[in-house]
Amino acid sequence: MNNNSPDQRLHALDAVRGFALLLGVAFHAALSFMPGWPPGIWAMNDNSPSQFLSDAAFVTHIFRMSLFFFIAGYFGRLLYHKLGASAFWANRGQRIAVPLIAGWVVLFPLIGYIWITGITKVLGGVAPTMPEMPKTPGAFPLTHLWFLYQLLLTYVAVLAIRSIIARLDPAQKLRNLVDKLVSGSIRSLVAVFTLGIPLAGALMSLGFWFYWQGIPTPDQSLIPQIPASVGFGTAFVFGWLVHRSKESLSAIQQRWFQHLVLAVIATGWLLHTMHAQPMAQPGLTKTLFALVFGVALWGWVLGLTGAALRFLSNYSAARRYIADASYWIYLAHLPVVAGLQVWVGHWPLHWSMKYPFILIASFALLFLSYHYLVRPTFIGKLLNGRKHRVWGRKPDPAPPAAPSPLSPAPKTPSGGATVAQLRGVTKRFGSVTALANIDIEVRQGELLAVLGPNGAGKSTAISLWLGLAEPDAGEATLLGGSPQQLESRRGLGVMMQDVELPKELRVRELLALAASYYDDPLPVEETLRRAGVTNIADRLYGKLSGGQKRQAQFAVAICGQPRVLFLDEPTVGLDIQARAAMWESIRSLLASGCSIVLTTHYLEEAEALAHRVIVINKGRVIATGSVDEMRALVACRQISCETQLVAADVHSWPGVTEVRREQGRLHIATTDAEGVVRRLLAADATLARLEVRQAGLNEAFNELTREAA
Amino acid sequence: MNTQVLNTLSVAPRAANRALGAYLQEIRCEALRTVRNPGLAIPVLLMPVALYALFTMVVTADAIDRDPSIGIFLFSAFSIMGATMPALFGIGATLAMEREMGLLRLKRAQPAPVAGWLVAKIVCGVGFGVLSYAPIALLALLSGKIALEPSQIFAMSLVLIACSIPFCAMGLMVGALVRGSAAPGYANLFYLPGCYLSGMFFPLPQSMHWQAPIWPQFHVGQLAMHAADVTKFQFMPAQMSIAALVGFTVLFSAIAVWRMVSKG
Repeated sequence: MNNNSPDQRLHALDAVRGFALLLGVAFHAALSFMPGWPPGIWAMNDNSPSQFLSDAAFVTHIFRMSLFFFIAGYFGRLLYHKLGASAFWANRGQRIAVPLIAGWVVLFPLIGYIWITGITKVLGGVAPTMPEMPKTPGAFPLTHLWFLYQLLLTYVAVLAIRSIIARLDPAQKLRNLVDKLVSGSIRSLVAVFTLGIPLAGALMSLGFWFYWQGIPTPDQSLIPQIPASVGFGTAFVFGWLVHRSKESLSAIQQRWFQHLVLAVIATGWLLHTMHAQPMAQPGLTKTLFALVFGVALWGWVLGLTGAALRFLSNYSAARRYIADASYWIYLAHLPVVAGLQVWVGHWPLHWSMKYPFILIASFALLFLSYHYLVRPTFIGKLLNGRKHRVWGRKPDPAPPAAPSPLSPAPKTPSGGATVAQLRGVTKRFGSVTALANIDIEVRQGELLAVLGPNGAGKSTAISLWLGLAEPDAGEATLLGGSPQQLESRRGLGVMMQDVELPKELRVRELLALAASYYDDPLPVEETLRRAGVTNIADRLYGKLSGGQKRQAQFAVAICGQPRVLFLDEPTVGLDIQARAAMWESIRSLLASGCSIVLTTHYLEEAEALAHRVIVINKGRVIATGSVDEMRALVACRQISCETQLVAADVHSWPGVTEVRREQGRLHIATTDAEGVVRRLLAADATLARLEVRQAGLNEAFNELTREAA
Repeated sequence: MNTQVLNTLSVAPRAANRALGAYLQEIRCEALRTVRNPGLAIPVLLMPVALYALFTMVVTADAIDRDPSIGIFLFSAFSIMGATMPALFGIGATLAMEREMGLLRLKRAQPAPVAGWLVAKIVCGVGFGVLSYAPIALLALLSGKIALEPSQIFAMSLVLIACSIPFCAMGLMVGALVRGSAAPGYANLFYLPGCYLSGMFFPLPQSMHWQAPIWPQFHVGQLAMHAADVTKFQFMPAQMSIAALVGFTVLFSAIAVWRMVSKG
């Protein structure tokens, strides 16, 4: 189940869009190495052609533009609903139409010059005759910027259809049905087999179809071409519908692997068939090729998007930078790539040296141009909506774009801000509900003890805060962000149960490694001192006793100066002195403003350290409050005395909840201490050494969990 | 006001040099662990060179003198073993152990860079491959039991080192499929049949040629022979072998990722 916030999902989709565009650069960089291409189709025919690059280019060409249009459809609807119709068109005009026109004016002469130079070189110094544009209406050399033109046409068509549907379906019944169909078809893998059918129909109708070209590129005409309009239009509309339907993204995320497997199988078949016969002949093979092409295309589109949602949902400054840069890079790449291809075309080197050279040199030039000429200037603002400083020191990485629904932070009665929170969280494992609509918050500078019997859900709650699991419903936050984000986790320290550190490393080495994960860690010597492990600093972890291992793990947990520390049974196996020392460290961490979440079976530990206690049982919070409040929750008090009375008789008295005899003394838990004492004294004249005391956390815990059971 | 409080709580982006530092620490610790694990380091680092010495100096010494191509064949076989075993066994065994002891879970909770442990394992797998292979190359050059120019051996070395990457992926797959101390056994199950059935150690009869390309070792050997320009042992175009090794790497990695995503 996917519960990434919308912002996290956008990080993944941004990454996919950037990938599709950068893949285009790699695709074009391969085109001078195509075996058997006659001069003139591309700027250069390299003297070391490559079947491998031809196949690789075919594979990327199957899906890269459809992937782009799919994501464009998703973001298109998002933008349309965010901005409204007029602001949407203003935005698209600025981001799409202006780059199309300005880009074409600048790039077309450059591209033309490089093409003529390259073809002249291929023809051994003879200048080629200028190719004439086909004399058909609308003919126009759009170059690689055709996709912007196609995108604008698609916006017009889709918004026109949208307004018609909005009139025909005012109650949204039809659209709700479509939403269900969309998510259901993704989950059941029906989508991957059916979405390509309209495109297959358009491809089958082509009289002249060179399999390698896939969807014929509509770069020669302003009149919309049928296969491209059908293929990219389907991708755009499906992206739009995926944004409509709430469940679809999580379905895509869940099925990433299956989609990629289908894509690989279908692509393998296409390659095999294409090698046998590169040009489509009417007949069964052409029909099959067109249909399988659709499966491969949608397998890659849905598989890659799903994999990105699964693995790239976290904010990453590097990925964000690349995604921002990708639009400029794709717009500007063609003269750079083609120029390099022309330059190296006759070098006496194998393609496996030249192709990487072209790729690396192109990306280096394009990223440098982006960094210095685009990102900090009006071009960057035009393309990406904002200007950055050159070195991006200040405002640059703004992880979760939208304000968190959590802010402003709720305050504790004592004024501490919330540093970690589970809100309405449900988590299931199969049929077992580990947490049921649970709300817990941790405030700045407090120690929250989480208590509960085994299997109550304590570990599940902690694992949500640590980003090890995602809630099925509700939200887990850590330091204002998602625990899945590395940036949030840089403020946490953790000591887990049942974890062994590498036995071949010394404690000092373990600390140096853990400290390297943080921005402002303590010096290793200081960590050793604070955790009281200086004496074992140079010993191998595998040679330590159980208690020493826990101490070393505690040192690892605190080395990064965490703002939230999760301690899972930290003192198990420690002797009394070591435990006292660890308690002391914990207290000084609290004094420095660190918040701590502690799970422990030693209730006296919670009693000694906790500001607040929360008791969980069967996945629900059954009580929460300060230690005193918890004790008060239980009206019961403890009476103990030396007496001849029989325990079973006393147990039957009114107000007595529990009686046990230990070492000659009778221990009675009661809600009516005064009444029971009077009756005890009356019933046994020899009664001695009478004690009455308020219930401790131990009794409170037993009482609470018994009531809940 | 509250927003300000929250802003002070949110975490600033990280300097690139600290991120690099985390990767270097990860690599250093991984290397220390391998070195300090003699059960792993000694057989993997010393066995290939010891076997190479035994076979070329003693067992087949005369045969090599009569037919130098035998020397090239054996050099290739033991070099492949040296370059690929540390990747497979080192990564497979440590990953399986780490999953068993919950270390990966801890790393996922800590703010460790996502790819840190993986990069460290690959760097160490390749690095120990170099350490294991270098003495074989040195011995071959010094003993003169190989009829190749140093430049041919150099080209071959680069290919062999690069070819440890698919075996890193195989190690990841083994480590992801099994837990704990069973990993080396399973790694052998994947590795040894390939050594024999790929024709790496002895020429295969004609009837078994069809199946040789299904073993990664065969393609490593082919690329080594292309790099050294030894036409006698070239049975397949280099591009096919590159594609096959890329395919194996993708397949093994995909199985590892699938397994670790679904089972942890």
